[in-house]
Amino acid sequence: MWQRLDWETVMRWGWYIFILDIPRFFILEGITLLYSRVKRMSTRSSWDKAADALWSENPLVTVLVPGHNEGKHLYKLIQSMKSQTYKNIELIVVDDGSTDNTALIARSFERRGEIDRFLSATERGGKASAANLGLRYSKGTYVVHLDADSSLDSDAIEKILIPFYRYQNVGAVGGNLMVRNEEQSLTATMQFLEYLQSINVSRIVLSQLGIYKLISGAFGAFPKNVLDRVGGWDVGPGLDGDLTVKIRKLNYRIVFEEEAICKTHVPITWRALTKQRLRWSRSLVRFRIRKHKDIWMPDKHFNFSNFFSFFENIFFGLILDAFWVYYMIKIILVDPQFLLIWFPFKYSIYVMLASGQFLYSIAIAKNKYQVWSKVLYLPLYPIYMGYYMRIVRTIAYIDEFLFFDSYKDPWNPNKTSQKARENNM
Amino acid sequence: MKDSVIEIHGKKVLLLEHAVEHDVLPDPDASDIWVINHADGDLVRRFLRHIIRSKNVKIYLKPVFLQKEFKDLYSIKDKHLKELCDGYVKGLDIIEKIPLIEHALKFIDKYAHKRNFSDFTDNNFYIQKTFDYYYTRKKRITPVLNRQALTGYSYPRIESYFANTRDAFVTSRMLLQEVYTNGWLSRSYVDTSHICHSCSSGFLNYREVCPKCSGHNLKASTIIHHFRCAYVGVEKDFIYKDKMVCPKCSSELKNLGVDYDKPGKLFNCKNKKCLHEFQDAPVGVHCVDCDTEQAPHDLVVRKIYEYEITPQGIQVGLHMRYGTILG
Repeated sequence: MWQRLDWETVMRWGWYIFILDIPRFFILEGITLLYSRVKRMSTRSSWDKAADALWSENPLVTVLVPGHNEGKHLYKLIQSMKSQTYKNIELIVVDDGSTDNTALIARSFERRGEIDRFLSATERGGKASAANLGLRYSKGTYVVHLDADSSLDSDAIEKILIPFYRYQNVGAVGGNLMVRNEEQSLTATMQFLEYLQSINVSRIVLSQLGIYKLISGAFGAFPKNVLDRVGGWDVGPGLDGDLTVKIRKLNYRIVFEEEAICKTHVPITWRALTKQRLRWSRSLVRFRIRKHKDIWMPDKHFNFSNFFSFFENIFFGLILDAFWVYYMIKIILVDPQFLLIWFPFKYSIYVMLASGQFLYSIAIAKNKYQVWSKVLYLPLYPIYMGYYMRIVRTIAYIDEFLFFDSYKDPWNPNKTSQKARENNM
Repeated sequence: MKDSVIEIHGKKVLLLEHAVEHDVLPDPDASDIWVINHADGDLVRRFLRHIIRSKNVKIYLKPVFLQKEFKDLYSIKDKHLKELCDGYVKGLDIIEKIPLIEHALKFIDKYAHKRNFSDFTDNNFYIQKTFDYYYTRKKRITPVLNRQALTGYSYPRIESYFANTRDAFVTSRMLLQEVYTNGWLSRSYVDTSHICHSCSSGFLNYREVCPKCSGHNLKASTIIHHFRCAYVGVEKDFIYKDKMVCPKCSSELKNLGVDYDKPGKLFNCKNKKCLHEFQDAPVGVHCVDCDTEQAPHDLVVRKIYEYEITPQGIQVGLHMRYGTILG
């Protein structure tokens, strides 16, 4: 039976593994990662100079934390702010129509001076409106957007600011995200592995290639004047990626800063994770294909790196998913017997690919022991990424294409979603 | 000139004008009832208070009436004059008041010789007087809203015992409370009032203050949220000529609830040294009488009651046992 796995058959059914997946996720990533490491080390003195420039200018930095019912996280957030190496911080917390005691908690912190400014909207308006209200009253030269349940390493604010002094024309810096509750459930552990690959490694690579296009809402920094220029955040879900694209369109440079580390809380049940990923994936259609369709147009505003960043995103996110579905169905119809050999074969290749990527993660990880301790979960990774995530993504794409479901997501209040839909926002 | 006595329905009625003018109390034995025949509310009040403060039971229990003809003139200065006497009569027609008059006169006849206050403390004297009056008049001790009173509420007759408003407030409430505690008065709830913690005044000015500098020159603005583009700012951000236009997406805001809503308020302190911006404006209370600035939770909360003499109170009151009981 195994003799059926000759090169020709393998290529017929799995050409994308060897033509696309391995070159993209192993070879290109490896080379770029290495290049970026070497470059970073060889330009150490420029980084040091940038840090000096930051410290001598010591600009006021607004840490902007919009949220709905996030009062319970505020104490930890404040502690995390107090322990920052960078001190010139203005902490603004915005309450988006919370229905719990968030306002009470935040007001008391504000009175004690531990929150510089607490703004409260009594009607829930969605995350974008809360962030914009905070932006309206922030005084910092830079604005760091943070989720209330994120916890920052003590040098994270300092690190995320340095790229503004290292490079010219930086319009946004994305922070590095690590999962902080990876022990809570298998779901969380798998996301821990995913974040290692798709954020820690992949964003270094995308940033190096100049096609990094999503600064997570959990932790990102922006010059205040750039945010003002783009009018802040638009109606979500997916507002963080949308904001990054708006900044890209103004020809600013978008940088990922691997050393600015934020530990984030991820969903611990499959149900919650599925909901989150459906939301994330729908915004690919909503923003990259619909709202920002001008990126694809070869007119006078055409910008190759913006085009390429969208292309990469759509190709690996959407088109390959379509292929995947096509081959799945085809193989079941044409040669279901073959699946018995093909599946283990393909699965082994993906476990190997995941292991290779895992090694990259180890190479760049600060806490290598923590990463190593999850090595036994690697064999599950292809199920997680290759099947579970693909199915969720495909469902999201279909329902957004056909039913515009992102506009019905209760994550955002209906009154704004409806208006956003009417105006193609 | 002497005030004249006339007889109506078999009662000797003394019409008081000269006495009011000069604030002299006439001989109580010369007439059964007194009717005020003077138009000046201030002088009338002075005179009525003189009667109430008297130590002579024949005087402080004397049936005293005002004339309706003067009511409009009195009400310019004091709407509560009738609380200090037995009310109004019209055209000297006292027929309806006869039972009250007889009851009072009988009481005076029976008890006048027993009312010797020489060994009474001030407070016991006040209580006895109060019981005598409200017992003979079969009335309740009712608080009235009065802007001249320190707290806004007064018991006009009882407060008349005292020379200054502060004593009037403090001692009258103390006495009522004490007598109520002894079971001689029952009470029913009328109102709750908040009064200055330093001078007990009820004349208070409430306004929002800056939490930083306590200044009260504040500008309040409404926060507006434009649904379509998620811009949020204060009202003035949106004002363009005579329209409301979003500064972010330039579209016009037309319908509240459809295009935009108002999710909050924001205050600006206009104190040039402060200029603080804030949302939660605490309320500051300023006492108009003593100039004290205080927070609402510093105010003293008082309940206002109406009192009525209990059967036990009647027993004790008639037989003047306050001295032995109150000590």
